Amino acid sequence: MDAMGKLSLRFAEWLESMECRVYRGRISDFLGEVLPDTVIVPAALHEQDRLGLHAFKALVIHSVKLLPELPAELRSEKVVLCRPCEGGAIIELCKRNQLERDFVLFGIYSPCSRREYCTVRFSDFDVFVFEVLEFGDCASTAVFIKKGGAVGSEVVERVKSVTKRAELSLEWIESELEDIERAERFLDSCKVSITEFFDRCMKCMGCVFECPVCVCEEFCFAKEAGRCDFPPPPPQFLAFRMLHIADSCVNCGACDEACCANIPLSLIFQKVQRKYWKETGYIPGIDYELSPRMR
Amino acid sequence: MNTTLNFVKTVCPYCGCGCGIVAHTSGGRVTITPDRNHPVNAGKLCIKGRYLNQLLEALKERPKSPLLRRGGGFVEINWRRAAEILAEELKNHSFGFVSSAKCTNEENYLMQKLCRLLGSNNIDHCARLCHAPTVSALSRSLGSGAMTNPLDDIAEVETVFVIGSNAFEQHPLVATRILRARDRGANVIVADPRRTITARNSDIHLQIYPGTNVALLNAMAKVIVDRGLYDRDFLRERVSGFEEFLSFVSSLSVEELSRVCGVKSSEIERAAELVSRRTAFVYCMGLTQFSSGTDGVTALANVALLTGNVGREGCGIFPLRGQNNVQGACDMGALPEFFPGYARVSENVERFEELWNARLSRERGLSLPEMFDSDEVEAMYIMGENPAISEANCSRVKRKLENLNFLAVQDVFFTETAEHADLFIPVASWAEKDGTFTNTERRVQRIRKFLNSGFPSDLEFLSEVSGFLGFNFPSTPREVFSEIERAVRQYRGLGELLYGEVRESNGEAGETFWGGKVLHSERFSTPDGKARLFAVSYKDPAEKPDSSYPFLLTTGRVAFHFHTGTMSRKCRALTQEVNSTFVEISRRDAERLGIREGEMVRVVTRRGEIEARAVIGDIKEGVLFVPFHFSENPANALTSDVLDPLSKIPELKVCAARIETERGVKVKPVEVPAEGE
Repeated sequence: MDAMGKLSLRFAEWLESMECRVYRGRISDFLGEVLPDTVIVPAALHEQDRLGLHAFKALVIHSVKLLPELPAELRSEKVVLCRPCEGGAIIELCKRNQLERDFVLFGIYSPCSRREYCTVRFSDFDVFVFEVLEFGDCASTAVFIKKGGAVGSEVVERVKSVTKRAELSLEWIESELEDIERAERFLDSCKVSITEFFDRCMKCMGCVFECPVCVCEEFCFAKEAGRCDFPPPPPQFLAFRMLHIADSCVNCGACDEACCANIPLSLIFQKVQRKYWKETGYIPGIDYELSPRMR
Repeated sequence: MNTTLNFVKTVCPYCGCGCGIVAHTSGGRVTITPDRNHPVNAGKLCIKGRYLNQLLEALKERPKSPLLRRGGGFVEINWRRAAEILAEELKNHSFGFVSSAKCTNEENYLMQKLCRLLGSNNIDHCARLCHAPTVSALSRSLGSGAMTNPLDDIAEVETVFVIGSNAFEQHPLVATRILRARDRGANVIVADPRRTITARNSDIHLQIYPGTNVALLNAMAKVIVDRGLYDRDFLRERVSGFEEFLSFVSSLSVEELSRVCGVKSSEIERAAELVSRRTAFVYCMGLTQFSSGTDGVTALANVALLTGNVGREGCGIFPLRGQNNVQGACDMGALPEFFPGYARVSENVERFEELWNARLSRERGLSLPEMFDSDEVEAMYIMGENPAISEANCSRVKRKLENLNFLAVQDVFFTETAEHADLFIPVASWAEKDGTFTNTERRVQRIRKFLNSGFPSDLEFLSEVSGFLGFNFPSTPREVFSEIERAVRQYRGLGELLYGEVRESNGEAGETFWGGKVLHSERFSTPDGKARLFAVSYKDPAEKPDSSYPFLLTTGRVAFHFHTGTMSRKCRALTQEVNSTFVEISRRDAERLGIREGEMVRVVTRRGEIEARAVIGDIKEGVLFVPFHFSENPANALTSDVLDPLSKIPELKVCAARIETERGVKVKPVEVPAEGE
């Protein structure tokens, strides 16, 4: 962890070296940009770059998938800045040999559109900033820090003071589970049943594309499991997909947002996951050490 | 070392939804993701859009230079030479021009201008095969053939009435809004002979016979009038022709009409009650592609006007455009009867003669199907269309293409139509050029170049051709758009928003709608400012089932492919889903004929036959469905080319057919429920 510690220090230094500035506005999320000094950081944006803002969130999720493709010279030292759910995805990918754990995970708790149902509050981050700043419940908020100025200095101070390794335990997660009754209550309040939700599927593949833990080139699992010569039609497709990521889904909700049929996929998945979690004791995306194998 | 990711914001090239996409380029790799802040799709995309990167891969298969026919084969020439040859031919023959709803507004504008400067109005494009009846019907009912409200209004209504559209498969981002409305408590009514995924997600499915839309809509109008469900104030202030319409309606019988459509009259009554609330009327080719297409759209407009669902927010008439820029191609006047901006040819010659400083023809030109019948057309210049597959009764089209004196085909890919060409000009795809597309809700949007290929765009090539003819068209989209702003009233003032410094205009709802967000909110664009009700009686389709052809055949699309498959069938992921034609048949018909799921059968009509895999589905008894994407078994070898007299659209959606099995046994006819009596 020494190397990690050194790196996180470098990142803190980088933060301090930036001109202090808090950026408020309609911004989708943090942009992971590769800088020459080998860190993936939120890009400092200027008014004239506004065109780029539209790509933001996609880039964060896709930056997870892009990590293995970074040029070798950039891979030795880097910091990944992400939300807890995205961090969870990165942890899962590491455990499944899709990523090498050669970076510092820098987590930020950022308000997001599905916060009310969010189950992933903490992950095994090397550095974690808990509730840096909140701008209401606006999903389109990002914080950019530059050195100097009152607000910025305060942010940097807070970053330093709350920086710690998230402490996690299964017991703590168990207590969290009680809390996600909310998700079920939401499903109960819908006038549509799960079967009816599934029957809406028009197979736009948004859930597959946006899923940070699914690294299939194409959706091969469905083909094999279906034992048919073409991918299964909806709604079986969704059931196959659910099996496919049953033990790795970090419930980030990217699939909900991508779904053309407005199916609350992550909430439905959560129902299944909770049983699996309780049965096996395995919760994805929270801990590097926890093995995905069943007990 | 700086490996910054670059991104370009542009628009998906498939359907009329006009979803925003972002192309990320990093080290020569292109990744396409949905635009999360785009007002149409907000981070969503359908399966075709998701696999756009595979389409980009397919661009490598393009011929690398223009091809000129020499003897039995082609020789490669350069673009300048191609332009020179084409210009020479244009001087010497009477040409039919086919423009393209896949091309930008700027390119369509130049194409129709080229045609008209050469003294003819023989220009048309595939809108003839999709929304020609919308233009002819809505422009006389409302004064404009465009979608009246933005797509987002669909999510706000109390009732969604979908007729002849399988939006879940063909316009997924419209389906998103239908579902949002339904989740908020709206009722969804779907009229379709097939139990499509759209119909499965409805509250009322009116499973009508193909070709009976007018009967259904007239029956609904009758119920609305009889029960006093119409909007009295709206009709008094904003609509004319109500008195005549009342007397027409009084002659109708709901019972009789319900027998014609093959649905219960109680269902029609319930549907009529529901549409008298705040309603979005969504329709597509299942309403227009009939010999009674104009009547169908008129009958729908009647119902919408009776219930006061036009000219206000949170309701409206939503014709769903099939192509990414079919709205724009119509706006640009790539039509034989209209100059740009829907200026009727007969009435506006002087204005355009002055604008273009040329002598123009004042005669209405030939429509697309007419071009393939007329001896007047000796040669053709086809830009970005594939009529060899897309036209009704396509064997007739192929004969015409073979017999032309000269055929120039300008396309991204070497299509089935290009096989007949004397000159093939490969051009840049949507990824390789700048310009504007207008989506189905009249939102004019920029497309931006993110790939360099060295291929000229359609615009650049047209400009080069015009140079050889002495017309000297501008060669940049920005310059052409400036001229469009002068020619098309609706587009005035958009140039600065689209091409100016404010590069974000796609992201701001309402900013680039032509005509404002809601059309007709003050007055209708008719001469007297009022909308008009037209009495349209039900007419049978041109072909009815008989003992030799006992089925009704209808055609359509599947979620995974687009039109003639020129684009989608080049994407591996999409062909893995479906890559061969099929015929959908109802369970009872299949049992009666002894047809098993997956069995190869022949579908036969008076014009031709194709082989297809039998798929047993929830389709109305006595009806067959074939998708038209697959050129090796083209559905349009079967379809009827009888035209709607007003809009000249062929009756693609219904004809009489029979099924023959592989065993060669002519299957005995099925008894079809009586209809039309």
